[in-house]
Amino acid sequence: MSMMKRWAKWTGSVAVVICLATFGAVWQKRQVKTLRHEVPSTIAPVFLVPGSSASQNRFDPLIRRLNRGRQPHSVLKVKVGKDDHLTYTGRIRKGDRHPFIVVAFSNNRDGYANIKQQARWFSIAFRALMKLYHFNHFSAVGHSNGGIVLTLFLERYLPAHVTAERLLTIASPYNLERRTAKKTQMLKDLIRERKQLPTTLKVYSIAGTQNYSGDGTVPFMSVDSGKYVFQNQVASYTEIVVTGVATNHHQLPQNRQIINLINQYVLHENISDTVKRQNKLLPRIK
Amino acid sequence: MHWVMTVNRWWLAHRTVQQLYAALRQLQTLLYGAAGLATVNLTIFAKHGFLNQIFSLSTTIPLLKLLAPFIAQLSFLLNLAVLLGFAGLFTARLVRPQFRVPACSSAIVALVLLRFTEPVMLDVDVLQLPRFLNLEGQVLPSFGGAIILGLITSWLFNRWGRYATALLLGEVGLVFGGTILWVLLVPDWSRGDLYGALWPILGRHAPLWIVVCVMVNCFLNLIGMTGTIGAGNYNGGSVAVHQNLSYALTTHHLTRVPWPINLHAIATTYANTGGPGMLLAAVLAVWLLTRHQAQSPARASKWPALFNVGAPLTLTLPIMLNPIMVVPFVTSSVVACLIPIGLTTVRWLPPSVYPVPATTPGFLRGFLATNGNLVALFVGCLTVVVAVAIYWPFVKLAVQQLEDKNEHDETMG
Repeated sequence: MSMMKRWAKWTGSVAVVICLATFGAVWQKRQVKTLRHEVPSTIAPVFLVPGSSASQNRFDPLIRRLNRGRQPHSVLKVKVGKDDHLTYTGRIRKGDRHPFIVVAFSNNRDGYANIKQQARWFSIAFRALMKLYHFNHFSAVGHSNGGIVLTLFLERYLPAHVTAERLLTIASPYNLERRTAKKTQMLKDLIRERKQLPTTLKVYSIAGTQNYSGDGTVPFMSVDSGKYVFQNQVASYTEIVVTGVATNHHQLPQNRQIINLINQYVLHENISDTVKRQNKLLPRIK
Repeated sequence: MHWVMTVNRWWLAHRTVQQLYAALRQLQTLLYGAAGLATVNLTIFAKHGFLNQIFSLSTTIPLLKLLAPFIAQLSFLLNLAVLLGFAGLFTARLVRPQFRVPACSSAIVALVLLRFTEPVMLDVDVLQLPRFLNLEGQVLPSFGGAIILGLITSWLFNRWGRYATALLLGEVGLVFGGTILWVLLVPDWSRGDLYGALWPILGRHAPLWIVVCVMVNCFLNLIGMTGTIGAGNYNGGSVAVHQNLSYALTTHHLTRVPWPINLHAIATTYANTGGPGMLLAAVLAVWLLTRHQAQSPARASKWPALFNVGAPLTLTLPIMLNPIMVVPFVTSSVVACLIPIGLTTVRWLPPSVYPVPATTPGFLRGFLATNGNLVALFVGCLTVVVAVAIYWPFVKLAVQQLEDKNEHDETMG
């Protein structure tokens, strides 16, 4: 009996220790996960998504100009195949806090069905990159349909613990190429799911106006429709109209004013003192 | 071992030491009660208690949150009663019978002023008092002040007992003034986490520095004074801890943290099992040697020691102010540091980076602080086994001496 009692005591003690270790390990895994989400990662990439028919090299001139006259940001290009396969070109330099990641698609055709598919492909690339580079906050720039892809991604696929800081769309047709106020199915869907957009996101929507109605491809009215998606949902929504030279739809990513806007709003770099004062980053000169 | 026995016999022959241990024996039941309640409070009711955290007790049992402040205050008061009771009993045993009342009063009031002047001056919140005074079950460090006050008070009253009122007022005034001067002259940063603050400067000699810190801490604890490394001290202010945590959280791995060997990762994680001096090992050794006895001192200490509230055994075996226990107390801690230092250096053991509750069982600390690394779990258990082996011969001697003394007392009685 005494022997049995002793065995029972030992078994009980071992069981208690195993129980504490198991529950402790489960609890700690949860804690570390929460901590990881709370602490901003050192790397906050800037995603660049080209529009329809454009390849992963679409932003090369833009990146060259953005990198001019300073320590260049590294560039990683990812192409998502139709079978969800990812092809990488370039690399992210160690210590680069804001690398550029261009995400392009094998199927880069226009049309709502393709755009929806591209948003899903983008989410596949995003999750793979997140696992690889351990970032939990980012900004994004999308040209033309690339902006729509990013908006759909933010509404449908953004992981819960990831913070989208700034989104800059260049001539993104929220109502496709429609020149009337009648909403397309895509815009209706975007409006329906707008509540999923992160409330801390800052959105800048740039419209090019080569003529009175638009940039030659996307009507101004369609870009302007973005207000129905973002306004009163995200932290701030700003529409900027760029006119003058190089305001044709295809020239917009190389437009000097837009490059300055990306520097100012997305990268927070190379900002002139005048602009800093306007944005209250510097005290006013008395 | 002969010389150890000789030194110990000489030590135990002193009247003051005998009175000290007698006072502790008198308080034994209260001490066990206080340590038990403190363990329950710190592990279950406290917001960051180990059991509370891993079983999410606060959210599943709403009553727990409601009761927590009462239990915390009750535990604080009980531990305070142990401390004050000890000061009074120790003084009473040393002073002549006719001066017992004023001498005890003087010692108790002086101790209250010694402990409470600083929090009052710094306007510490009432709920933070137990932590500030280090009276959350870990009563051991506070006993140094009580012993010194007891010795001074009894000496003064034995010599000039006729001027009892003047002595009482004088002692209380001196302690009060001295404490105020201490608070004003010695800045806050120079106390608290001294080792952590010095870490960035001495990081180049990390292993040596850790061993020195641990030895100093053990000696401070043995003489009943507060050490800066303890179960309650997570070294939160240490630059190394913050940098490591930040690195691990952003890169998701522990292999190249900037400070793999630091005080928290080594000493707090592996050399604090059961409290300073690897007390869980001492409890296990005592339990294995005395389990046949009905009144085993390890019986009441096992649960507090499991959750790093190791005070009862240190006071009742006793380990505190006992020369026979200095060697294993210090050696086991140093060895418990050297094992993880060696394994971390050869990269077999990942550094302990993630925070764990102060009451996490010592052998699980490494496992949890590395987010579930099995090598860390093995090292945690190994340090305990090695520490038990180190304690074994010394505990055997101490237990034998206690038994001899009890037999002697019974024969004399």
